[in-house]
Amino acid sequence: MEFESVIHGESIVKRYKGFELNVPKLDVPKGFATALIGENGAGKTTLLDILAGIRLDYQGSLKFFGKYDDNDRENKPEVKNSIGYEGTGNYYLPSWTMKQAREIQSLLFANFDEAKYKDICSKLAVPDDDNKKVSDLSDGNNMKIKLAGVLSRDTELLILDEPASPLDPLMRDKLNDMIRTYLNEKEGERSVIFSTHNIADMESVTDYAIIVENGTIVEEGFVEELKEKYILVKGDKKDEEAASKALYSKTSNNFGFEGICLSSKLDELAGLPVVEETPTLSQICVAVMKQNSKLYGVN
Amino acid sequence: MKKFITAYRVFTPDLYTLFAFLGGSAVLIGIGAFMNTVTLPGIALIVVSCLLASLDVLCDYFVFQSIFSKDYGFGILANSHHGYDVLRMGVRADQLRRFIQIFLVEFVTGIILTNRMFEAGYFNNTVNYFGFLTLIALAVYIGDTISLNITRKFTNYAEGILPISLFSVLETVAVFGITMIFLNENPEPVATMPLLVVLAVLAVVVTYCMCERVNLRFKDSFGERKDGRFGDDSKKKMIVFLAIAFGIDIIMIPLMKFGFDRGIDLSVFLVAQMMYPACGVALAKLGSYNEGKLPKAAYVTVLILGAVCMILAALSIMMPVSMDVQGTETTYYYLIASSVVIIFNIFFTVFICACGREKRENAGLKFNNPVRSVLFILLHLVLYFSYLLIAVFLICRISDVAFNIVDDYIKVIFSADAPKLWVSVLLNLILSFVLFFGEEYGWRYYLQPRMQKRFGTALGTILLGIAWGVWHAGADFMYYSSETGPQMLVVQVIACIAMGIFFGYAYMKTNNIWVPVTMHFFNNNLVAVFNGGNILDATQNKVIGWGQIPVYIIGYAVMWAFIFTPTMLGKVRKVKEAENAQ
Repeated sequence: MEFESVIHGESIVKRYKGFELNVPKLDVPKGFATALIGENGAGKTTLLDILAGIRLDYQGSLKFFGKYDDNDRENKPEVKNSIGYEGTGNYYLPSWTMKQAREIQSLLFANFDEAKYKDICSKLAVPDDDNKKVSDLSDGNNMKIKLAGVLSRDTELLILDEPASPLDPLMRDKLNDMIRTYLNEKEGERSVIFSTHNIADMESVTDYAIIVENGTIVEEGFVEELKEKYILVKGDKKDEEAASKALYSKTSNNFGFEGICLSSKLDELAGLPVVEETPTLSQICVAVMKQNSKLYGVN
Repeated sequence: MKKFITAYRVFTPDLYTLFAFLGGSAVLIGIGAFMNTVTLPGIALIVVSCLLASLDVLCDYFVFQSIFSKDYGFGILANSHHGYDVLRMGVRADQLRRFIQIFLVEFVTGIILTNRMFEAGYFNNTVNYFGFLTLIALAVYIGDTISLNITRKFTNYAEGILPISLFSVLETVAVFGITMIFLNENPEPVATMPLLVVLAVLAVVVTYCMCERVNLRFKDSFGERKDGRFGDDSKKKMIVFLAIAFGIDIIMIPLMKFGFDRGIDLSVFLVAQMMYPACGVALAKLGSYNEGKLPKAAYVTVLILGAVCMILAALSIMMPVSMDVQGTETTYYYLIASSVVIIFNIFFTVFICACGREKRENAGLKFNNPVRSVLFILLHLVLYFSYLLIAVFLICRISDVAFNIVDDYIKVIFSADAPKLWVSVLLNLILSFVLFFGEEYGWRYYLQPRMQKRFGTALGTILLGIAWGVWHAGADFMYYSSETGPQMLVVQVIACIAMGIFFGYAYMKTNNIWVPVTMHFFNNNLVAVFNGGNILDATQNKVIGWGQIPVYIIGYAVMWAFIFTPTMLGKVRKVKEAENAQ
């Protein structure tokens, strides 16, 4: 599927000791919610930091909104003004109170809407105490005020690093709604990219998935396309050996097996008594990650 | 203003501000008042200042901790397009708070303590009295700031606050004590203004460094921004360079006038002046994040030497002590300055040699093309003597002086004393080249390529020569030629254009900064050879008539003729471009 990209990156390289992020080509579709999926240490946060301009020690070129490069992002106010970023770790200075956190945001961001911020905070049931220290908030509440911060700005692109991790299941559902509302407010103009290692919770809001393993992109595409590309296959124990050659990945138990098969290889399973189903995004992701993970070695 | 306060408040805990600004100040003023009843005012002031300094290090510790907390670099500030500016605003606000706080405390305690001195008639008027207090406050502020910078650099506050505070106190005692001693020696009509001006300039520069350092450290935490891909700060660097090289030059002119009116020898001002350009480059480069590794120790040596010379210059007109050097009356401070220069020259040489190839390369200090460099230096000597002979010959013709001046010069060159003089000149080169480096590093290394890029090779070089000539204006009117200032200035500009062209040409051809440094040295010092080794006498109080100006234009033709070389006219580049095009 052809699409216009809100972020286009080429040959992004960042080397650490013992780890290398190497993304030859990156495209984030405009007007959609993109999930950056990968196991811990796969390079998701590094990639998002590079996109948001938190890290600057990388090689490669980036293009934002189709017209600004990464140099513009650092030098032209309109670029960073239309990007909302929320990161892990200490986003706010620990000694800041809730009030100071609010004040600094209105100082830092021209399009920060203080009334909207307060409104979102009260809707998310963040304790309304101006003198409470940010570091004293629970992880969940901390994430809530970060989200309130980015959502109360008039942005075109949100870059969210693990927004769901510290939230409870109910709040995760709410987060999905919030992202969807954000996208719908300006249909086709706004985009979101978020990272997660727990795709099941974010599945309903994901339009496009990028799977990262060992510092590089191993699979990407719109969720519908991925679901056509990968087929979930179930069968009995006796057919396991015959089927395993054709399967992309499989898990087995005492009674039978379950595996993901590439639709192009489906012919090889012809004749076997197997059931074909549409997989969920998380099943696809686990299969792809298994294939590329260091944890499993060569299967 | 509201933004300023908000920025300050989000980066510094309110409680700390309250303590530092009100509590601490009140305590210190109380101590000052108590000390007044039991001991000497001077000692009481020193005690209060030391306490203030240690209190300040403690306060700085909090700010520093909050600004450099570990995860901080990856937070909200990087997300905003002007996050750095807000941080910088917060840091500057903190500096302002320090400044006001020190002034408040030192003024109030000073008034309490020195009231007796005032009543006893030590100060002949109120202006001097308040000048004295301001001086103390500025001295404390500078001592304090320097010690904060040093402690930040070396400790990162990792080793605990007590040794740092002690160190800070020692630093302040040094700076403050020196000031007090000088003032106590000379309690009658204290003309504090010159030192006040110099201290104020230093305060501004040091504060700038302090704020810039914090900012740089912050940027460093985002990774190696060394390739300069993001943000071009060449404009900022240029502003810093011009502010130091020309700004301080201009600020010092009223001080020179002050001394000039009192008939005081201004030699130390000229020594200090030579350091401004290199100080400008050092500050500009140290404050930049895309310069690569720099020979910091050498740069800091240059900066300190500049500051020391400035202070000596101010002292030389505040408390003039004259002495005799080879029959010429000069100021005692010139002797001190010369010794200081020699000492710093040793440090400078060691640091340059020890800093390694990469740093020398980044700072443009490498000794490139040795053979060609030596040839150019020899060529300069030949040209210099040709110029001298032509000029002297013509002047003799115009003024009908007996022709034998030329003969005298030739006699000096070939006399029995000549080898001795040459040895002394060469020794002088080894001992004091840092001064000529001070000028050439700014003009040839830093300003020339930028001027040439902006205005074209030939025009850029000529404009640089004009700027360089005008830069000498203060010295022209008050030192080289007190009676015929305008003529001297014109001659200076002519000389600077001519030398600018030749030095510039040599620098472009050799890419070796030590070539123009050596040439500049010979240009300034060879006069002494003809004058029996006395440079002070040879350069001061010349009288130049308008009629002599063409002589200089013709004489310097040997140097300005190099404007017609292909390199200067930009032909070389065009040929290369044509080759590339093919």
